[in-house]
Amino acid sequence: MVGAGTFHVVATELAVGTIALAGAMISLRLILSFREKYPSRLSELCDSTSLVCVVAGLCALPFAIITGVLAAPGDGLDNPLLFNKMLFSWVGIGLFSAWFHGRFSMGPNLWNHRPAAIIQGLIGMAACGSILTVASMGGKYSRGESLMGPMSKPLEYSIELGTTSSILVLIVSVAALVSVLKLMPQPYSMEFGGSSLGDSEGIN
Amino acid sequence: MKAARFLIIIFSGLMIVVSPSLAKPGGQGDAERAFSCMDSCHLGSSGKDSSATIIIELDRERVFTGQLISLSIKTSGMELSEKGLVGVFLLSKEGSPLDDWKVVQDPNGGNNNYVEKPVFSSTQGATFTWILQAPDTNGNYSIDAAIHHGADPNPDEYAYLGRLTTPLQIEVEAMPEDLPRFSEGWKPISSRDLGDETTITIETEDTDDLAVEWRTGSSETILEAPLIKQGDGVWLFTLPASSVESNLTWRAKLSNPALEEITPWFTLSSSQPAYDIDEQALMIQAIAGGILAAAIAIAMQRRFAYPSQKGEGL
Repeated sequence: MVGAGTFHVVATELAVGTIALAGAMISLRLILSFREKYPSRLSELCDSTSLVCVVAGLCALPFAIITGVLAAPGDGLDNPLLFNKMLFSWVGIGLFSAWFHGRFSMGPNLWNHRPAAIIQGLIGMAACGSILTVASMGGKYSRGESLMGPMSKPLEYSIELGTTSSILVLIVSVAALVSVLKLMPQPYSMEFGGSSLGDSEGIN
Repeated sequence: MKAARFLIIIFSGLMIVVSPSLAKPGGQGDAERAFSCMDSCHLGSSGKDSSATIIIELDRERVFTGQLISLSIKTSGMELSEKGLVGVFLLSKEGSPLDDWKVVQDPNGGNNNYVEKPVFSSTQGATFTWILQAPDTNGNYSIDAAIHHGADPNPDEYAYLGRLTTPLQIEVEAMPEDLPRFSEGWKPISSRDLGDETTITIETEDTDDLAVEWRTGSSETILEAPLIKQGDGVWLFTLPASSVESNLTWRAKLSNPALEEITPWFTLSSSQPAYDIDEQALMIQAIAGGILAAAIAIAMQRRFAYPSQKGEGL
């Protein structure tokens, strides 16, 4: 019989590995978008790698969360660090979903348009940061130390809303998401420089 | 392109330069462990020898089958890591967890043969006390002890290991038929929340009279707790609440006209109430946070990233 802890290690390594790579690729692609007039092979490689890694990470994250809850020692989540791990995991999933939505709807040429590239890059890095924070908190919980050092101190405290308030926040969040998706301008696939989006020089 | 190449070189360099660490400065946690080191002997059997002095002490001269005894491991002179965490194993002669002896209370209030505690001074050292129930069968038994810890500095991440030179030999005699004792299966309470009084029920056998003494920490002042007899061999007593995080120890003196038995000191620690949360509420809160983050991110994409209408330049 293989315990939930063992599955958690596998799922976590898969999720954190792919997401760390996605973060590095997104950062690199953002830097390249400032440097290149036309996307190079390296840029295309960064873009496609980040896309694959984000999808793989999004698939692995729910397994990491479920096995993490099952593997938690004692009676469930009895530590603020575990609480914050759960919270940051879902924030990471939300941000990566938004990143994927943006990349999928705007296409690879979004990187050649400065505002889109900056926003997409920042969302990707924030998502990656939140997942790496979760991984770091795991180290703090199991080993008593983390790469964040003293910065992990605030994460030893948590703000619990309770069931009623959480349901209320959930309803507001869903309403906000639906409003954004329905009321704001619909996305369309961006085209490369010289196209209807203008700026034949790309980003410089 | 130069920046990208520079970044790749920096990433690659970092991956080569940073050596993987297997050290566990936060410890492994109390558990039932054999002295195989599990995954803590970072360099396998080539861990370094500890400078620690290990002394094992029993609280009585004669031990009877099924009797509760106190066994202390006193250790000092060890190297200490930055966190000063020291792990102590209580083992059988073969290095496996104690099979015949039952751990009633370990130094941290659990039931484990391996515990970890921070040691603040190598010179003063620390004492790890276990309360054990002797085996049901009389005979000769040996109990071994081992210690492992880190050091500061410890650049090679050695696990420092130490073991008793000679295991403690204990002759367990058959229990006298009328030895006053706690009932089979009785378990001590080891922890409580701050500010709570604690009422403990003791069920005994062959006991006509009982007295309970308690003290705070290892204070010299010993007080007697008032007892209420609930029935034949059943007593009840209440220990006072504590307003600060501390340990209170208590012991019972059981007697009948023929024999008297004094139990080891049981530890009752007071601490802040455990963090507790409704998992369902947490899950809803976390999912709500994720959806809200996605909504904000998509709103930013649509507000700042998209041109106002197709055909307009940036």
